[in-house]
Amino acid sequence: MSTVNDAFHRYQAELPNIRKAAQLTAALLRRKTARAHITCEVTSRAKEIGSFVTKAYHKEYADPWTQITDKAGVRITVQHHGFLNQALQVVKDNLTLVEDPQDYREQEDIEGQYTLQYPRLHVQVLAAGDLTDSDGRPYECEIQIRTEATDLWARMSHRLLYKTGTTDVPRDVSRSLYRLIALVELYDLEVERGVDVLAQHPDFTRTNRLLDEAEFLYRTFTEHEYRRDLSEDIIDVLIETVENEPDYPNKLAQFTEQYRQQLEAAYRDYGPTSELFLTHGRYILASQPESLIIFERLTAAKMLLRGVWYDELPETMLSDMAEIWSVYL
Amino acid sequence: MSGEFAQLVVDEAIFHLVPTRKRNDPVPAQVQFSEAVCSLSEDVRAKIQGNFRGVLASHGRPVVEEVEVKKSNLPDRVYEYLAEQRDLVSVSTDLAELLFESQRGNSPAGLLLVASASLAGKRALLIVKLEQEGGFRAEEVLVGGKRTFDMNYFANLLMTEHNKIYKAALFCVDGIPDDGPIEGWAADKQLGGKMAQFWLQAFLGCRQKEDPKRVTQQFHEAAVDWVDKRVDDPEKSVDYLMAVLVELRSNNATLDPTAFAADHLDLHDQDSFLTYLASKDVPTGSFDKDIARVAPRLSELQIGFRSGISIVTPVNRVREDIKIEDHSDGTSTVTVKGKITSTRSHYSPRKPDAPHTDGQAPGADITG
Repeated sequence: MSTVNDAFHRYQAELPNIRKAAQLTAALLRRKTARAHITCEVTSRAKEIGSFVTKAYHKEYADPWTQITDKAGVRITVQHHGFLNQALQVVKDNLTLVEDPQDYREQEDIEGQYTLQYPRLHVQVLAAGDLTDSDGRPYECEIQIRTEATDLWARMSHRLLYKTGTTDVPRDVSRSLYRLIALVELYDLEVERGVDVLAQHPDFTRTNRLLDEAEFLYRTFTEHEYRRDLSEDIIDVLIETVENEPDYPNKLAQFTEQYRQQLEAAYRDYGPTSELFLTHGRYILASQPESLIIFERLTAAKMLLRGVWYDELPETMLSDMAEIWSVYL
Repeated sequence: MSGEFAQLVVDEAIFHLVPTRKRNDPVPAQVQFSEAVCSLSEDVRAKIQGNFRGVLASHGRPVVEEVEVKKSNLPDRVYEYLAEQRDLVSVSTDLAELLFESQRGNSPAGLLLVASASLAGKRALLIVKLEQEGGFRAEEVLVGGKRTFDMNYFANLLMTEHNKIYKAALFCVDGIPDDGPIEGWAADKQLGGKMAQFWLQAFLGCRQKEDPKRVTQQFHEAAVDWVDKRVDDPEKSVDYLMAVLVELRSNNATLDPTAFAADHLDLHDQDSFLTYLASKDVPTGSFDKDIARVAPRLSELQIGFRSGISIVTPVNRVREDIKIEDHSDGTSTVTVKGKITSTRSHYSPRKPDAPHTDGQAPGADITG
């Protein structure tokens, strides 16, 4: 009783730091996966106090504080199966692993059983940042890497199979739910195939690729949705200004890193969560991924941008961005 | 790089109403002071910040405290604020008094906005004179159950989107040395870049840091140099050079290199031109023009050839009497039309004898 109680009080006291450690780790992985061009969503959470206590009782841990290793958690949800290894590599390259990854994706094949089970891919790492617990040790963080389809299945199973506590799930129900994993595999493979085919398709033009490049980088600043139709209109114009730029995606990535702090401030004051945008709908392009290209062009080729823009798009849209970036047109 | 003022962040602001100063008024007008900073919602704060980033980028000029003939105590008040000796409300009150005293009788009433700010994280003070404007607002209403719009007129609007009536100054802690004049930036959007003297001298107590004669000379040298080094097409070179000379000879009191580039250069040459100017420390925004140092160089244009041949022509005859035809082998034919009145020997102390390379010499076809 007192062991769990002590762990509860300690967890309660350290929860803000644990939450911060998870957030910092997620932010780092968000940036790194974007730079690696991995289409994914990165989320973080600190374990709820109630969940921590329940787990401590349920598992009868001798030292709940140490043995509960998912106090800080980050989830990387990738678009399809093909991104799993890349995401794992990003984690390995940028964080310190506490132990080898738990990779159960092909375990059943190795054992020759061919059963259907959750393709667990978890990595225990030291959290990003320099936060330490009351013992002076850096916080650990559990990273879960899943596809979107697996995530859907896992959340369902968590509710129906895991959370029922001591009640046994009827075998036929359990079997039918596990049978869905076959669909998850099929879904993942079809998405991956579709993405690959689309990338080779002539209609998947340079315009789309440029917007994709911008979106990957933009996602390192914000997860908010944007207007795809507006992006397409703007990108059609912007591409005219980068036609003679060799390796423009790399140039854009370098620009983003060089001006990251300034861009963060610009998106905070004028971007998708700003009062100016939410209340008045102003500075709309600061809530779009192509804003990165606009800021880069304002910095490197403002007159070319101005000349091309004024022929095809409303001047105010560009002058708003020039105002944010303090560039005279 | 991004604009110098992209990292300007406005924090708090206070307004004072500065009336017109009429000398013969039986009851002298008085400044209406605010006693506390105003409450800025996040959208207002960010919009003010954005407006002044834009104004300073387009019209901001480096200024320096005038120490030889001190005309205003504003630099002392700015120093006190930036050195954290006084707070915003107290200093802003003094600035409102100074503005009132420095205005002439024809200066319209306005609001003085003084804002605590930071520039690239360094403590800064933003000072702005705003004039109120009129404007309409349409509001949807139901009349007799039918939808329509009511128009309302407002005479007290500030900083509307296309407002051209305000003056601003920015001072940063980096520009206040312990033993020298303070430096900052000033802008006057009202006069197309030409700064009102009451604003710059009588109120701010400053002068422009850059000497117009020197900046104009730098612009001329850099522009000519850019044409010479970066423009390959001979016909285009002549056009660009002509545009530079005409711009310098014009009656405009200011010169705006960005506007010049947009008006006279091909789209794909404009950024190269402005980047080159910046690399030579020439402003790319508007500056006061003074051609005293370059005037003798603005009346003639010289076309030189690799062979050593050169043609010198009055600027005002270029369009009519000179024709350049480019060839695919990189040579050009220049045709000079006119009546020959003299031929004489010529000595140029600046140039050694040019190498004679018949194979590369252009054809000089002089007719008339």
